[in-house]
Amino acid sequence: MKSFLEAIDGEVVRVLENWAMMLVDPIKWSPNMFNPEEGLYTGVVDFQGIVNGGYALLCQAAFADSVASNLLGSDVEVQDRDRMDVLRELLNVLGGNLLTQMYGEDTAFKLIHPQVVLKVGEGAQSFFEDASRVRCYTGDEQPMAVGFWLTGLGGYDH
Amino acid sequence: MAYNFLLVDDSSIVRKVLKKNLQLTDLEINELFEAGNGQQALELLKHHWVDLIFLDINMPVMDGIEFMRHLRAEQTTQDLPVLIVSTEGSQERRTLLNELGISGYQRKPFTPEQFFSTVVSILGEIGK
Repeated sequence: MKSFLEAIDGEVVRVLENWAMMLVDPIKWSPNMFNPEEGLYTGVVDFQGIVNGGYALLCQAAFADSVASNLLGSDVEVQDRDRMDVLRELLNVLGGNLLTQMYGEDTAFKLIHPQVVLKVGEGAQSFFEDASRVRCYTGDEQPMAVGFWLTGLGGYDH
Repeated sequence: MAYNFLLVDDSSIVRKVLKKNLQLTDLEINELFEAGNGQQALELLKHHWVDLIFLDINMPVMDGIEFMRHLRAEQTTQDLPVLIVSTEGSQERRTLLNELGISGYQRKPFTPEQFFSTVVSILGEIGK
């Protein structure tokens, strides 16, 4: 079985490059990688299956705008609700594909509806308590971070 | 032939992406209807005919599985082709959806080429 971090790397690069048509590079985690003067979009999707846990994404408006523009066309004016919507969808796609990579297509998981909020004046450090489970990238030169956690064995009865 | 399509997904971004991908194909589009969940889609189908439904699975109010059950229970819609567009790809789910008579399964993420190939394949089957 792949490690979660290897699977995250593979899926983030594949999804952002192939689906969101971004240029993706891995970078090192740093709490200062985001501009402190701008709000931070934080998204979480919980999952239930043979294991339970969650998957999270952090980014700023420029990253979300880039994904939205690449998906919808550069002529579309991106509103804040579009940013929330595109990040929820990105969480769904990344989370779903990560679980398939880790546990195979025969294993059913339930993804709980992803939540995205915009936090202002709050650093990224507080979001990920365990930095060993965080991976960071730039997509079209804009930083983003993803992380995951497991809360235990699940009992999801499909 | 000009087609009517129905896009059922709670994400407006996904509906826009599907719309953009459909417009990138050479298919002639007559009407593109949109619904944010299964219940809205069933309501829409009472008044409009569509040639193909693009359906998400996880949606609030009425999910894709429940929608399929309602769709297949109605004489007027029981044969309507449905393409599932989802991140969920477990074999168990696919088996259940196949039993409910889906026409295809497009896993996200997809490229415009993959999407086009799947749609044309289903529409080709309809035309036979």
